[in-house]
Amino acid sequence: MFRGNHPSESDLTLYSSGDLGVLDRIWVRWHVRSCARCDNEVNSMNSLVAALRSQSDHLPAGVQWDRLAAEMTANIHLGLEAGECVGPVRVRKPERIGWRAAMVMAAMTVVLFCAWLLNPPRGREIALQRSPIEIRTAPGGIEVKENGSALTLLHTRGQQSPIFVSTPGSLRARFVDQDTGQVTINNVYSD
Amino acid sequence: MSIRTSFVFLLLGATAWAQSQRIDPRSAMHITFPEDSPVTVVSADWGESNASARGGAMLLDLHTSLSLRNSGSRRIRGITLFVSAQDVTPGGKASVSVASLNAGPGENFPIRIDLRLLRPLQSGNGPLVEIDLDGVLFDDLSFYGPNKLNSRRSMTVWEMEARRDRQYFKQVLESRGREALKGEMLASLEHQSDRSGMDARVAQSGKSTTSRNERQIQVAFLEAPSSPVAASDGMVRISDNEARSPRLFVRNTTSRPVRAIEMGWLVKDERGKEFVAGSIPVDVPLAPRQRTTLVQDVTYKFSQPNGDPIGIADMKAFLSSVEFTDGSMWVPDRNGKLPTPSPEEQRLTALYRKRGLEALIDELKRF
Repeated sequence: MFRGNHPSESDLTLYSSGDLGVLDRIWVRWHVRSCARCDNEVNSMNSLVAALRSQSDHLPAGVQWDRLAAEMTANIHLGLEAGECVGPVRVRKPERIGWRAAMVMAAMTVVLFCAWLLNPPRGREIALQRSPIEIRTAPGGIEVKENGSALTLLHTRGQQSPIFVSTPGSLRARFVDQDTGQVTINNVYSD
Repeated sequence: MSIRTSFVFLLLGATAWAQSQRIDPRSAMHITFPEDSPVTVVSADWGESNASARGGAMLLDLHTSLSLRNSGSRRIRGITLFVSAQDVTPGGKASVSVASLNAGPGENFPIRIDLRLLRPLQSGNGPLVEIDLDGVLFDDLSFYGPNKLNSRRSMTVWEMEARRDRQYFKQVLESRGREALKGEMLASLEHQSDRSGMDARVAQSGKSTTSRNERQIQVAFLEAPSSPVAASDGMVRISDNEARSPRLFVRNTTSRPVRAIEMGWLVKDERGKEFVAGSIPVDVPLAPRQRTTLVQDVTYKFSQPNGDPIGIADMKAFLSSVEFTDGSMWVPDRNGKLPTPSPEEQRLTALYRKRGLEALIDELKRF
């Protein structure tokens, strides 16, 4: 810390900027009062800092004083090499792809394009497919059928053959119940 | 008895038990009516409901006779129950309607539901069949219910046809006597028996394909005398049993706006046999006196009930009902020949057949 009886240059710089530790600051202050050379050194540093501060308003646009100050402080503490760590991150340029990789990618593109041509999207075809729900006349009733399961409305209590009426999406059977005499109308729907 | 013989008997017994067993319909069928419903369930007779195994599937026969009460203040003319079996056919639905009812406030009336379910052996624990109320039609043609199946329109048409037919038969009785009424009943029964097996099924085809024998024919329109919608001739493309893109020129002849019409089709095959195809509802807003071209970009397929296709030689269209924007309906009067008997005509002729002319006359007097 001390070179001979004098504080080091870095301690004097930190002292002049007020960044030195408490005990070191007391010791350096005591020394500067009695040492003309170090006192001159501190005064010159103070005048340099004052000059820099007075010119800080005229710094070019984009210069961040706080960042610069932090970098300088780090330089002082750790040296120039370590101070680079607070500077901008260096981006490594991407390595150029070799011709083999390009060939592989081209081949894969051709394969994918051929696969798409052979198996085009099936959205439209699905839209045109028939409903899986089937409605039909069944023995003794009308039926709605889906995935092998079925619901049948029976008209076996009818006096006569039922009259069937159909519309797209529905099938109707109407008959007169032989017990109640009521005309009953059964419907099954597919949509 | 050896162990092997005992095992065979045990197996046979288990098989017989599995083949047919009684089920508790109360757990299989769930009936839900809204709290403010004008109809309440008084009792339910579950009859001979049973379940039997069919290979890898279970066949359930559910028979119920519901006794319902008119708990409202108006006379009920029709009711529609929504039947669904979500575990069996998730997308399919069904309904049971009773038309021409005459249930006054506080009176009970029955509804029978007979259905069969075929489902995989593995099943859930919830009810198999859900029965909800879709709608109730009253004597002033007002309606109650969610109307998910558009039952309001159907029941209103049935009720208007029923009033028309009862009025007609009463008029025959008063003006021409009992024998004339008897003659009308016999003629109707004969017409109904002729119709049996002659109906054509109409389905909307998924996609149309062009074929070599496609041709365009003119569609004649059967005018009803009092029809609020007039139609001039139209065109349709025919290919085998398919009718494509029918085009009709229609005109609203009244001063009331029209919301929808229902068209029926008469299909004649190459041998001259005529089939009555079902009616097709078409939503077509028509302002008073407006004329428009009705074009349907669809393909209709006509087949006999047994599935045999009907080779179309000729087609005619007729108007079976018109719905106005105010909710009122029009149905054809009996001056023209009706291709299909109404549900009420079917009921009255069945009554005549079973209980005779006196019972029919008494029934006509009840309304």
